[in-house]
Amino acid sequence: MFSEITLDHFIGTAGEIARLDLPEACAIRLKSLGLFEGQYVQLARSGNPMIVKAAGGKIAVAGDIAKGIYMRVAHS
Amino acid sequence: MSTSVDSTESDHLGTSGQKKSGDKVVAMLGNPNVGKTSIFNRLTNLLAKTSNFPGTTIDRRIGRVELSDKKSITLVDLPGMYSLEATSPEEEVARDFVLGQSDEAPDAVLIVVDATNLQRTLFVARQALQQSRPTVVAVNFIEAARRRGIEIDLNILSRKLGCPVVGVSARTGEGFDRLKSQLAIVLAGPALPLLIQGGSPECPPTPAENVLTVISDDESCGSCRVCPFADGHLWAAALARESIRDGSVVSDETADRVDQFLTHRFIGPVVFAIVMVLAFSLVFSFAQVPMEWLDNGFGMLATWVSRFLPEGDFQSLVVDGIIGGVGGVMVFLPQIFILFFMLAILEDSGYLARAVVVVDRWMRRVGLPGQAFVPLLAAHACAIPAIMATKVIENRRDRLAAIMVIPLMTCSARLPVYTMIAAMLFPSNPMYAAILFASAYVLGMVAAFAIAFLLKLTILPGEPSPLILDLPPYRAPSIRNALRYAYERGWTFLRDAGTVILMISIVIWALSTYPKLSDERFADEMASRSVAVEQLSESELDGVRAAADQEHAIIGRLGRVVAPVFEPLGFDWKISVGVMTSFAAREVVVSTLSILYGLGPEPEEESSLQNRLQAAKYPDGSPVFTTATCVSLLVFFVLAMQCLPTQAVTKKETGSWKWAAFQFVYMTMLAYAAAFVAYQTISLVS
Repeated sequence: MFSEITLDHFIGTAGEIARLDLPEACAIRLKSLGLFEGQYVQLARSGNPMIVKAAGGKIAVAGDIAKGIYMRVAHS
Repeated sequence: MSTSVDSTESDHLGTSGQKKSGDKVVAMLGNPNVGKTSIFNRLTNLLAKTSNFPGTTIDRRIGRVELSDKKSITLVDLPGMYSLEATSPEEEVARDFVLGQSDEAPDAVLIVVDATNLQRTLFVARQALQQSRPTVVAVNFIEAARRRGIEIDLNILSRKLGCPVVGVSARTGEGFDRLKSQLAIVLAGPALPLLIQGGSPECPPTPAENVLTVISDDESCGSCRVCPFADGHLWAAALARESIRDGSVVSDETADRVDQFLTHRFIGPVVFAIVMVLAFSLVFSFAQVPMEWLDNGFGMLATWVSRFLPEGDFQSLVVDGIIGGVGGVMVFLPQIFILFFMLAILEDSGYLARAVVVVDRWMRRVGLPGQAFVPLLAAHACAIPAIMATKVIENRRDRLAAIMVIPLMTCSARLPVYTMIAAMLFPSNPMYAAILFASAYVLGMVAAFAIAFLLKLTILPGEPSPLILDLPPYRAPSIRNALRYAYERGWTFLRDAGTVILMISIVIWALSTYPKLSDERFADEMASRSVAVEQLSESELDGVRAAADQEHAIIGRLGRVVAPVFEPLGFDWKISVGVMTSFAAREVVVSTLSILYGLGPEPEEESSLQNRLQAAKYPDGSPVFTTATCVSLLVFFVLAMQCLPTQAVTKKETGSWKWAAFQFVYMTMLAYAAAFVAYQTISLVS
């Protein structure tokens, strides 16, 4: 079983993006930078802005963006 | 201003899309920070021109490259982009150019990718390859990758991409001959077979169609199959893995540790403050000597020209109007050059992006995006390049907010005014003078943030668009590129500001020269003021005459008309004239005051002007420049919008005079109100 949690509340060092719930321009920008549904990301800095590592790069995202990035979490 | 394409460039690549006969056009494309500009600089031997895309204010750099077969091409360096799915005007223009959707289309594309980070930089390369134009891929930083133990199999890469791939190092020049010959081959040869098909999000390529889809089953992710972004990134990741020979993943733990330090909640801001203070002290200390040279140089030029031109209106136009006016702006060139050099070094090193992460939170609170910090920083040299630099801000609301407050930052042109006032208030106390200077800077910054906040609450409602920023890898900055960048910025400043300043200088000169005061009228005026003309020395007489001429001219009459308006700020009519003459360029106030209060047309030294101002008295014998007046004048000049070239750039970048007018009106009102409060408060206290 899986559920979703937004990136700003995500606890852990790495996880998979379940979906993006953001305005189109933001979503396109994130996807261009490699943050798309199904992508595996690592967290390099928490707080606001957060820094995530994905697709060979590091991306800083503001808290408002992190709220629209849903991460997949496994239920134990 | 600079919207038109340089005539020399029009030969190569004009607004009509006409190219110079025989010269094919190659567009350079790639992510930001892949060293595109270094490659461009090396290919064009630093002989490039910067202009705008037709009908826009977006920069493009164009240069000629001599290929190995004696043919030449026109190379266009496009703004860096992560995807052809453009989300900013800058990316849109670049995309339209690559796709041939604008008036002109390139004959070939040169894609630049980063050998130290193939995966990241191949994504946009794939999108460009899907356009089926003749293409060459340059793998930059090949030498840096080798040093880090990354061996890239260029043959595999070339086979998979279906186009020539050349490993290059812009730093050492490795691979450039081969790059040129490959460009010549693809331009001369038949169209390449298309290996990567499809591409638009509306019509994503299916894996079966896509010869280059190298996703293995374990990487496929159901719904992402139809998502072109996921498809592209997974393809890039797989291709990068396949073409790196030893398959080793380079550890970036060190970079992570540096990141943690530089973006730390408490240490980050401290490092930021230290870097900024250091950068600014270097800018000001290095710029001082060349600025003095330039100043003296223009002085010498004026003297030299006056010797050759017969005395009269024409001499005055050339010496006072043109050399004086344009020279007054040119002296700021060293500061602008050094500031942009430092910015380029900081950006190239990767630090600037971390600084944005540090300041983003605070700037957002007042309604400015983190990306506005670089333009705000640049505004300390000059508002003009700073307003141009707001192009990095995608959201129009955010960009407008930044443009509106940028001119509140203390630019170089305010420094002569600050110097003059500091010298008057604290002639023998450099410590207090320094505090006065710092306070003026802080006042400008605080005002900028306060106004940004007010704009957010009123006419520019909404939150700034949230930060999404790619953090580039840390690299040793290239001095060569930084010099080139600073040179280009300096040249743009001269071209744009210089031409407007030239016109303004001529207008101000005319307003302060005509109508002329006849000798009889001068004698009458002197008699009516009981000035014993015959007792004055020749130079004193010249000065008195200059002041009387100015009083009589349109500018002096205007000053007298507006004087009552400025009286509550503690300004006499001469300062009011100074405010009027500096409407177009604030530093003009120093020379206006030196003429109006002067005994000589130009002060020999700053101290002589200071003495004259300190000695200035009202008819009742009270001093003109009291502490209250000095502070009021300083506050006024910190906050007032007195720069016509900036207004012209605001109009150009916002697309309407409405915003330029708004900027002028609000800043003037703010300056007036703040100066009024300062004057009245200090007058009361003392």
